[in-house]
Amino acid sequence: MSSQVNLVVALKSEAYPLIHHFRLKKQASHSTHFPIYRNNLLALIISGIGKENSEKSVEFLADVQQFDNATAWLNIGISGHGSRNVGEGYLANVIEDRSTGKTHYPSVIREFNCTTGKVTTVDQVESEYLEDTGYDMEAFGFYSAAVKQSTMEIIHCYKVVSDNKYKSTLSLTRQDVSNLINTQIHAIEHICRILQNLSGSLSVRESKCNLSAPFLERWQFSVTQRHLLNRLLRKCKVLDIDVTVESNSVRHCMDSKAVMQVIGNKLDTCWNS
Amino acid sequence: MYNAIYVESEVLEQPLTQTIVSRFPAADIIECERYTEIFNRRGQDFRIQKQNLSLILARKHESHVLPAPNGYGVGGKYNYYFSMMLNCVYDCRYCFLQGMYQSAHHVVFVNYADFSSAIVSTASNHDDNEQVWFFSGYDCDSLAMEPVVGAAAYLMESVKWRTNSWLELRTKSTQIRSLLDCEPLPNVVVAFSLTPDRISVSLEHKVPKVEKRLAAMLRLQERGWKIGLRFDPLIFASDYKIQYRSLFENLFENLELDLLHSVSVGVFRLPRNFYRKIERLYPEDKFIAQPFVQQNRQISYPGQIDSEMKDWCYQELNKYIDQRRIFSAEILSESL
Repeated sequence: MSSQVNLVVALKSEAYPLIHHFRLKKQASHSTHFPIYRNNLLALIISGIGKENSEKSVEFLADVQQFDNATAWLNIGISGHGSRNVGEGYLANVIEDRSTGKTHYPSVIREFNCTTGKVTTVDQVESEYLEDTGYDMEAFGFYSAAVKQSTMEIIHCYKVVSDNKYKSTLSLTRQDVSNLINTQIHAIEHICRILQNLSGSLSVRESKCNLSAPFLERWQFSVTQRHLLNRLLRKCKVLDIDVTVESNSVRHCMDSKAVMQVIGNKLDTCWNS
Repeated sequence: MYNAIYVESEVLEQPLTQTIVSRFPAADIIECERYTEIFNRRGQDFRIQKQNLSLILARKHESHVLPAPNGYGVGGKYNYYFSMMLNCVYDCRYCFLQGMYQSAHHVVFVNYADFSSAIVSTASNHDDNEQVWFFSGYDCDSLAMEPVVGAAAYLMESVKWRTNSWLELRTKSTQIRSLLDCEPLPNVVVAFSLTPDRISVSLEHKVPKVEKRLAAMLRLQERGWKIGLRFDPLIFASDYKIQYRSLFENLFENLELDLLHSVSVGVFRLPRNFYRKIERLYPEDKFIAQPFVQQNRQISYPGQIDSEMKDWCYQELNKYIDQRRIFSAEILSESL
């Protein structure tokens, strides 16, 4: 069972405050192109700038991890904005790709307790800020790749406003970028915690509890029978019906078919209780 | 109640849209092209969404009224259903909507006039002396959101003057104000779905208590509205006879039988694929974990329990009401 959150950031200067705050350790390199940092609950990958890089980094991280659709994904980065002040943090509730007009709609999760807004992913740095939207270069690529990996309710983009019509990107230093992310580190930590909880609950649901192992050691089951056996044993567990390989009625069974029959009969006793 | 309200661009300026949106000042208002961009996409999680509901306001373009499955009805020869809303404010563990949709978000189709026209035009295809039934509440609860959406009040206008048109509003709610505020219509039945209290508390999350629903029914009857009782699904418990007997006694001793239009009965059943999906959503749930059996692509109780429950309920109900007013809620298997 995992309750993993994968963080995807474009720039090293965005990553540093997160690496420091969450005490992430650099992984022995899988790729020089996409550095990965980890602790036991979080993984962070530095994607580089642009939606293609972001998309590839998600695919890469999903590839090096054991695939699990209960893994949460969070894209964190700076953005320009048409109306928000520099330093404000917000979660994307709409992500539009300006070049294609395609749109994603990330879920709005109450517990995040966070301002939300639209993010437009652009191919070139925005300098006019005409619309009431955030401008970034990764969110659409990130989201498009992440929805292929996980349940969409646990995929989100968090942006911190770095530039607007009053403050251009020209004067923005790496230190400024790190400082901007740092100012929102507690909001980011809160979002990660909620995502971990959601990921954990999904993970519990999806987990294939291995109740059947002792049965598989003693009798031979076909693949189809194994699935059915697991399902029956899970039902027994939920309904507090005690069945083990040592149960009186089970241990004398000659073959798998007889075992399933006995478990089925035991389950049917629930109609009498 | 809603974290976000998604609104199709096409209906954004409609007065009804604006009225509904104004009821939720804290929600994000997000414009979209089609509701299907948000609703029922692959890779969504019904259970997480149920805790984080959004409302979607959209226009339904076609199929406003559809023929009901064979065998569905409460005495009329011609039966149709329609869904002005998708999904429900309640969270009943046995509900097929959890298995049917990927999304738990609520969809309201705000082009009520198109539904109304479809009802009128469908009814006009039948003779004036025929009973044509229109069932609301298949994909939603007909009244639970009435204070916000006002759909039932609008619909009643569609059947008001049509002698051959009958409307059923199916509900578990107590939102009856709009009905109490108008003159009762002889061709509208407000049908309440009921299970005994103990079963309701354990399986029908957020649903008003039986006593409150009974109080709502009594108020409607006092005003002159016809009531329907829907014991669908019948839920098995080892003491189901005690529980259902007490429920029946409570209802029939209090309700005015002359204003009781019909009773329908159907044992719990689900299409197999819906059940499998609900099993994955709620693997820890005791109701869902029961060893149901599969027959004709449906899962339900083992045959003996199924028929015994049904027979017993029919027999009990017969003590209170003529059997001609008792109907089966179970559709014929070839309709599945």
